Amino acid sequence: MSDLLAHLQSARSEEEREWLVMRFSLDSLDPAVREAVWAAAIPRWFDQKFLAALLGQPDDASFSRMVEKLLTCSFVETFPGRGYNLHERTRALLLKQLWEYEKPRYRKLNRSAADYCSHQDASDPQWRVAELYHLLLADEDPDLEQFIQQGIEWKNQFQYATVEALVRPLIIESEANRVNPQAAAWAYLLQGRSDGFYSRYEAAKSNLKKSLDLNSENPILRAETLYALGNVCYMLDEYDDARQFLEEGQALNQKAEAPGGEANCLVVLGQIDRILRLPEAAQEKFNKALNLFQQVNDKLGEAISLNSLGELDSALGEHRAAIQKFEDALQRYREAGSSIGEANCYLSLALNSRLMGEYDNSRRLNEEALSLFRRLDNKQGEANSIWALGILYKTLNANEEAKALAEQALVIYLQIGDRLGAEQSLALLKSVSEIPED
Amino acid sequence: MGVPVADYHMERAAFEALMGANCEQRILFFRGESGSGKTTLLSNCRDLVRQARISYVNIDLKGTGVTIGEILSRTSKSLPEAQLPNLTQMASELEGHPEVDLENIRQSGLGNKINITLQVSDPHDREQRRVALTDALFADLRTFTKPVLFILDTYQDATTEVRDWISGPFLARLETATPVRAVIAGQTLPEESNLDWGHCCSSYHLKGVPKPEHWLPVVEWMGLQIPGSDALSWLNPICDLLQGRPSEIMKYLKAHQARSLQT
Repeated sequence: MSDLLAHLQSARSEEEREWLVMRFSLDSLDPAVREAVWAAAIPRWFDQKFLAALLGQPDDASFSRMVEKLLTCSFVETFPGRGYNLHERTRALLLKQLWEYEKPRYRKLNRSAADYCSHQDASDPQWRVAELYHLLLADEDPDLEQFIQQGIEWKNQFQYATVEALVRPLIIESEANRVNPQAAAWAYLLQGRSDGFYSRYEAAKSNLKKSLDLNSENPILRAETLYALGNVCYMLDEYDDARQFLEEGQALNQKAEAPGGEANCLVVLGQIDRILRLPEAAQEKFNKALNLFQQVNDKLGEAISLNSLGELDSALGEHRAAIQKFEDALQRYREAGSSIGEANCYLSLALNSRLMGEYDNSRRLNEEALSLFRRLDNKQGEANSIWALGILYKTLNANEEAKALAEQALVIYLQIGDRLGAEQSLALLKSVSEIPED
Repeated sequence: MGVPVADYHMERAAFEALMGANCEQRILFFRGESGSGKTTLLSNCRDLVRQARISYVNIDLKGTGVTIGEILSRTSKSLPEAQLPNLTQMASELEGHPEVDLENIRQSGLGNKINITLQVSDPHDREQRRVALTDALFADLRTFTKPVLFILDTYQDATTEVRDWISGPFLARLETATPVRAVIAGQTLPEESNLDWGHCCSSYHLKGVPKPEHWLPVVEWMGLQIPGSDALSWLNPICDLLQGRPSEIMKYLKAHQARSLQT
């Protein structure tokens, strides 16, 4: 004991002291329990069966007795719904030791863990997350395809919570230099996309830049990351940076003959031109994007390009041309199965019809939008449609109807916490309350 | 009853105040590094809640696997369903909506309904459903005549969606729901300067337990055989060298105990 205190006193770092205590603790355990502690450090959680599989031992009465002893260790915690886990600091210490001094054992334990997880409940994404995590740690040069495809699939389904569950532990391993850099680059890209989805743009920028730094060899990954970075900078109104990232991304996609990726970059570049009041440049990019999306038969991409062209025409006062574009976009949204896109197109069509003085048509289109948003139970769209109808009635000097609609929209905007929408409704309410009816 | 907590008297007093009928600071934060004793402190708090027979919902956000649906679902399981009529009705209304994917129903009951209603792919729609369910839950919680406590641990592990929900809709509604209290522990926590609920929040930073006298009750509870007669002198260098970090000191004490039993 006094030896340990002497060692602790002479230790040069906190980490060294922690390891001395850990070793003291391990040495106090039965050899079987000690072995189990090392194995238990590999997964993020474990239960008796998982541990038996890792150690290659039968899950019998003798093993149960050993696990009971393991559970009395101060560094073993309950992991709700799963079993147990080693305390974060203890696990980090053990993994570091395994990685630095017993790499073959570290890899072998991860392979066993991946194999065990692959045979569990396939409908539970947490098992899939665990399987992919261990697969990536089991080999120096792992097959990344499964991980990438699964991450992209969850991202495309907007399952960002599961995307985070997949990539966060890998980012922690990456910070300890235990993950293949390409896998880490994909993890940072997916984390950055997730941050962007949750409007955490600064975090997104930082993670996407880490992905760029780690990836030295894969042009598709680089192009994807540049597109995501360009998008984030666009959202932050950093147009020069956005343009730089997107132009590089576009060029890389062009070189890799990836028309979809190139078109995605062009759409955002076009939006930047539109904001900077460069309508001709914007139009050229949207048209080019439309052609590229057509080449790969991407109906949603076509719809977005046509919608962007419609917005451009609408802003320039070219309402007839805008209507044509929105009608084409509407068709593509239907083909792509995007009901929200369809409903928003009805709203744009209604707006342009009103601005052209085609009030009956505008009302019909607004009502189409309202009905569709209600069917989708989309409150925001419902409020927008009601507010737009209110504006139409105000234009027709039907102030009582406009007032009732403004009140209806206001209630929904307040319900969903949309302050801008609420202000717009109040402004409409005020304007129709002040104007006497003819 | 679990391991006694070494020190953290102020934090425990703040927690006891949280259980009082007229408590004003109804949100309590325990912030601390890994190994600072948050989980042991919370375990001790749970013992106090059980002794006081107060309704509580215990959620550990460890491991990024906990969704908002899961939190609402566990809330419905922890509190009597009869006292949650609004949440029950809202979950039924949303579940009956044609856009909701009703496949893979393996359980029945309110918890499952909540999970199903949040299984929609459109993120905007999902957000609206979360807000509707949160409003319904708090409409019910406001009618409770006795305090109801939420204990949320390992906040730093929560997904962004869950963090945004806790620091946004959940705490904002808690501010106006007087029977509801929350204690949240983690290495990182919501921004307590929040305009909506910051004024009813107390925050404590757990910095470890470096004074040996605070470890005496733990040593006694463990029945440790101390070399010599002066436990404080024995504990002093340990607490000092391990910088008062509870996880490390406990590891040391447990190893010492195991060795004593072996000899």
